[in-house]
Amino acid sequence: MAELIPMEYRLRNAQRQHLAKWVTACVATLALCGAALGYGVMWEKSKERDAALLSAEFRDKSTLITRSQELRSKRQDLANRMEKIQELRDDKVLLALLRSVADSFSADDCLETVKVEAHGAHADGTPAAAGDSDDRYAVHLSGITTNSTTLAALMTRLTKQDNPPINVVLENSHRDKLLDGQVMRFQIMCEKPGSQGT
Amino acid sequence: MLIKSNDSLLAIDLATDAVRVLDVRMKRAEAQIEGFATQSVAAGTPETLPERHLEALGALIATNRFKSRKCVAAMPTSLITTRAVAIDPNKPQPADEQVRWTLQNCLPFDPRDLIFDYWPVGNSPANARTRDVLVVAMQGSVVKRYLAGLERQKLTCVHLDVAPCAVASLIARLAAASDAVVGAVTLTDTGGYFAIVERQRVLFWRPFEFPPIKPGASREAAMDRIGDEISKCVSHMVGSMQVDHMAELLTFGNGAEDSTFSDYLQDRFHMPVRSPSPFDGFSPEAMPLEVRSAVEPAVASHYAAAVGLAMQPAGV
Repeated sequence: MAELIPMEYRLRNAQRQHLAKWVTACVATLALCGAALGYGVMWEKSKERDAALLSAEFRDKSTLITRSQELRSKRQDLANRMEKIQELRDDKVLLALLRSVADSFSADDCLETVKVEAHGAHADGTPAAAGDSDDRYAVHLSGITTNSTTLAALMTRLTKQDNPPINVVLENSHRDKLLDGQVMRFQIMCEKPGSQGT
Repeated sequence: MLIKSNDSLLAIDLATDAVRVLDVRMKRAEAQIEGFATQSVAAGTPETLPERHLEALGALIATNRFKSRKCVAAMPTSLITTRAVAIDPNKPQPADEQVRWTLQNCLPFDPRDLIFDYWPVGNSPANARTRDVLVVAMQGSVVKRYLAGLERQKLTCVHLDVAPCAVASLIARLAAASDAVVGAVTLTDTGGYFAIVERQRVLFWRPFEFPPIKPGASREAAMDRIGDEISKCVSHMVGSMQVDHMAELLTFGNGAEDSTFSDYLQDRFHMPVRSPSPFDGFSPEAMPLEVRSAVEPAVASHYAAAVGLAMQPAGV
């Protein structure tokens, strides 16, 4: 076998082959890196989408939780109010006061407004301070009666009530026209005997 | 498949009269022929032979759509100078320098523009002062023209040989005895060469020319010319190389299958003469049936050098 290819041609071909191999390897590496990078980017975007979905889901759930908490709060408030109503219904002091007031009014008297402060109230209507005993009570009555005699009789009957005992104070009274006649308009304050502000 | 893998190549025989190409693919370390094609070379002066060869090759590749990008080629024998040179190992000059020095007086071109190769031949006695080598030389600028032309056709040449060496590779597969000395005659319309081959190695080869045989004319004159050339070569072989036995004579190329020619050679040299198909060197698996059946015996004989190139291990 003879060989007539010049050495420089062989060297150049060998260099080209090596260069082609390196270029191929580089291109393959770059392609691999590109694919990995692309995969990474896609993976990151996918995770971002998942995170956004989770975040939206969390927000939705958070709204539900908030609503649930609000609902629970409302129900708790309602329960408290019902409990308070129940307490009021079972309040013997209040009932006794109302019964005393009702028993004291006769056919000559007409009650227009009644304001009962059964627990912890001063006679002037201000709420009791912390530490005050809560067995004070006060009833503010306003209404009309026939004349000063019936007013006096009303105050006498109120004074006689002993369950619970009350101290009756006429705050205000004056004559007033009603229809075609005259009535005595009054404001009476009843409170626990010995309370301040009387 | 648009681009063939690295294990395929074109075996190109750049003969004086035509370019012959085999599309070869290596499969399990064996060459397989996938296609073959021939393109005749346009007429012209010897100086323009490389360009004419490359033009014919380009047309052939374009026509047959060969996709291989590697090739092995056999240079035309008309551009090769061959000499037997005695190398003296005791001389201070290296062997290459001695070859160059010897050749410079017989080269038809500038000795500085020389590309050559050589290999030892003959059975030198143990006490011989020199050893004989057979040198094949070619003008470097012509080789570069061929290589540049192949590159323009996007072909990378991995082996550039001479046709007798390619035929020697073929003969190793075709000869009755692999280590026998075999004579090979390869013919074209106007010439050919005779080579003596032993164990895939060319011991000696000599190109010759004869007048073109006119249609209908007798081939006796041409046969005598060929016979004389073979006779000279055999005489040289016996005289200088101490080789006095030739097992057989194989003929390839134009008119090789002609029994008259075979009988002539047999009568003159008293040795067996055969004209095998070069493709007989391939196993049935190495050559698809459609390719084998497409090659006519008269055509197949012309592919001796191309098949020999395909059987060489170079570059594959």
